[in-house]
Amino acid sequence: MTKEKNDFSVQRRNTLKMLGLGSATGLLGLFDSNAAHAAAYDVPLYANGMAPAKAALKITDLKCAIIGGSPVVRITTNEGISGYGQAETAKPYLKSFVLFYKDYLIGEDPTNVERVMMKIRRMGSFKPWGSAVSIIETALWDIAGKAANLPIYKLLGGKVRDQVRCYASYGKGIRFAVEGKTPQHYRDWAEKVKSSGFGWEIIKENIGFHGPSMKNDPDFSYSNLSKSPESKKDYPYYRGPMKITGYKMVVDHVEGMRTALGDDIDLGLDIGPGFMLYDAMKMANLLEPYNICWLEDMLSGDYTPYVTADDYRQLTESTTVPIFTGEQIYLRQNFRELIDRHAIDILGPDPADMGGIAELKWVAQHAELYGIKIAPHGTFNGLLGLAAQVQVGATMPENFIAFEYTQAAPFWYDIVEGLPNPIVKDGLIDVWDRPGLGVNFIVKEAKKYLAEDDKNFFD
Amino acid sequence: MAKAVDNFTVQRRNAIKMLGIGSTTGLLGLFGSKAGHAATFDVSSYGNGMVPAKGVLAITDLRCAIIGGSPVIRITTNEGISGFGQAESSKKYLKPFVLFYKDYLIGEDPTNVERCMMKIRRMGAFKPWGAAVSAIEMALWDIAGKAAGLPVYKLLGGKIRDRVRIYNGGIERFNPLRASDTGIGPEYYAETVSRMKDAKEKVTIIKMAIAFHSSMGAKAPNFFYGDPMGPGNPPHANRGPITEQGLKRIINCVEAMKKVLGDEIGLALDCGPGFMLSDAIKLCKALEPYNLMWMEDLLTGDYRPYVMADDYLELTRSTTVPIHTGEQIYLRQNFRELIEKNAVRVIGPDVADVGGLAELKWIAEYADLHGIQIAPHGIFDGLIGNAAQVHVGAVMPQNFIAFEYSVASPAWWYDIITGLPDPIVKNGHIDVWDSPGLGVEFIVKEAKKYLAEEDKNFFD
Repeated sequence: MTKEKNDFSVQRRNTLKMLGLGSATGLLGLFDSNAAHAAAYDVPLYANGMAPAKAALKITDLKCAIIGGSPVVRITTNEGISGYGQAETAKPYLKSFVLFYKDYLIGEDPTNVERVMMKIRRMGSFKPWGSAVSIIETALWDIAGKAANLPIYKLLGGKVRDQVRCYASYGKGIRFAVEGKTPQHYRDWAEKVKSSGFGWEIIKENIGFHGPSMKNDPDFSYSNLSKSPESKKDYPYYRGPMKITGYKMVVDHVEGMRTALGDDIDLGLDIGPGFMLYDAMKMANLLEPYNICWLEDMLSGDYTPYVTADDYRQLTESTTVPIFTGEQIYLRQNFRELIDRHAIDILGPDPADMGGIAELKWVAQHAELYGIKIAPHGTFNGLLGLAAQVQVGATMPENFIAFEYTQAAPFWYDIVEGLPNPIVKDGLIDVWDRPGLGVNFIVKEAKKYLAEDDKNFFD
Repeated sequence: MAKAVDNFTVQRRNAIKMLGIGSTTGLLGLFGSKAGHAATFDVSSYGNGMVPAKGVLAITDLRCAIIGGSPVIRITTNEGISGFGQAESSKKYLKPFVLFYKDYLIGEDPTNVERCMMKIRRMGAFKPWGAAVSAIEMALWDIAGKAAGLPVYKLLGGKIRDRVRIYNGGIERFNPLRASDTGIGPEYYAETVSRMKDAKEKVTIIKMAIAFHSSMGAKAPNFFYGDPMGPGNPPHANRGPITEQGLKRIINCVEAMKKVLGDEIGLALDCGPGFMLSDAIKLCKALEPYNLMWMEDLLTGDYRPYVMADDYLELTRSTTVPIHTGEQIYLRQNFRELIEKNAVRVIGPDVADVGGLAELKWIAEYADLHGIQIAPHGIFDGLIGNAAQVHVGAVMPQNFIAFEYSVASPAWWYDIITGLPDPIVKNGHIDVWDSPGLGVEFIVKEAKKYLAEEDKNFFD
């Protein structure tokens, strides 16, 4: 560890030297930018690694602000170092849930991440009730990294890759709607995906019970739940026996997409939850000719607070299509049956829901032991969430496929610094070497987006 | 169902008739008391079942107040009927978590309980994140019962017992004779069960906290091979390999208790979580001679957001002592492995954490199908929680042992709630009552005194 740290310091010293020569590309560009904006950043000299922490660090506060609808957690310390984490933008209600953990944290040394986590970990649960714990963990690693003047990946065992692959999911200019049902529509769709500039190798499409138009189509399933006409809010999800026309709908869409994409781009399908077990087997069987890279959450998944490992095992054994689940699952204990019984081919835990990045790495290694692949979920995790994915993605074993890329609202790119530009090249993100997450708020800019009740967030 | 309604209506009519004659005992006492305080109760004539609902009921609001430290939920409707639910008093932070579900519920017909629940059930999880959903379900049944003029148990399939067995739960907890600091030796255990044996409730089953569930983990010398976790942790933080001295301490305490209780009163132990699997097996084998009712949460339990059914299976197969778990587990799906594999002998879901009354009943039947017994957790569920336990306890199959009785604190809780029998517990049982809904109501005038400033409109 000491040696690695020295290597890193040398590397950084060289970087700084080169800065003096006026180089401003890639990693160097970051440092340059950092220097130029130092006054406005929320990164004390300390945190930039100028003076490694000597005294014991102590947590002084835990704050949560909802910035542009996205929950951001900040942990402050007695030495001026702050750590940040970010949860899914789909959870604007998260503030009180984050603050629930505050009393457990105050006074603890944030660099003993595991000791802090042992206090709060068992007070979380399945999505969305694990997200506060998870992003607190990320913020702790951010502090630990800054205090040690190391990127987080060095504290997670070191990186095994210099670039982390991500796959395309939700986002403007990332994934496109298929605008009709003719072969031409699918060709147009595939052309847009291919020419989007990100160089994706894998794209995931919402379909079936996960596809907003399909699940409501009366020809899709026999589901006919109705809410009260007086109620404004519908069921969060539907579930029900499939119609023959529903299977056909999915197959037609997939055939169109697959044909249009050719062999250049892999296609994953987020398709549930909603299938009855037999229907899931039949659906998977019908899709076997199309070389799908995975079928996600057919039986349980988004906001189902359970695993149903035995059902997944039967599904997995029944088909050659890789079966995928895991975004809602919290902690290694709840992955145990899926992995031990080989109930699944690919796991998709979300580091902002499953207990954090160290927990994700542990589960990835458990999966690796059983030959199970991993493709972490993260479509709504924001730019700090993206940074967390890069840090942990760099350390995961060879069973790692790609993580789900997240795209933020445009203003976000003006209020954080430290990400590469462009972020994604050929479907990959270069791993950076700045301390902690390596992505920080430009406080002066970020403050503009704080709500009135969050206005002291950066103070 | 129609017949059941008719029978009940006749029964209630008779009750009202008899009221005129001045009878005020048992069921009649409840009605008598109601009539006397009608103006101050939060029960419209509607809610008393006098005029069954005709129009479609719609939920107008979901509120939460922390009353005496205990989270209480109120669901209001367009027809003046309100339903109440209550979560564990250990969850004083619950308010924002309850309100999270509000938008899903507004406008829904609360008497279609399952439809409301299908909207929110998947948005809960392991304890404490299933509590809000569970307490909301409780309140929905309360409304559905009031709207139909029926006690909740009639909407859950009808009662199969007239009185519901309880186990000690909170009975000793607020006893002034109880040492402020719980003991860790045989004398303390003998003295405590002796007091409970003599308590007026005449309980037939006593459960005692021991090992990692008691202060042994923190205070007993050389109890386990680990340093006790410091203060500031969530409850029951200690876990680790146990020493021989620790093992003997537990056995000595059990022996002391059995000497007091003999074979008249069943003894159960709340043990963990905290045991390593092999230590749990060793302890159970050692305790086999004592005919224990059950050993609870040895491996997981309180605030462990997972089940570990395979480990429980191994433990259960290794011993004749009935192995018990389940208070932290949310929904039937998470009981599936435990039940289908016979991984435990007794399950202990909490009505205020598992997903509600109907969920608890379903799981009880599922357990019964597999020869597994049920003893629901509920020590902190409060008086409305007790009422919910009585209704669901009345309908559970013959695998039902007893539920964990909640004693309310502060004591003024008993002055702000009406509808419970007096005394509540007789000979270790609670008589099932027949008033509509959950059958317990706030005496609003009295209850208002204990509302915090920010909750002051709770009853409006």
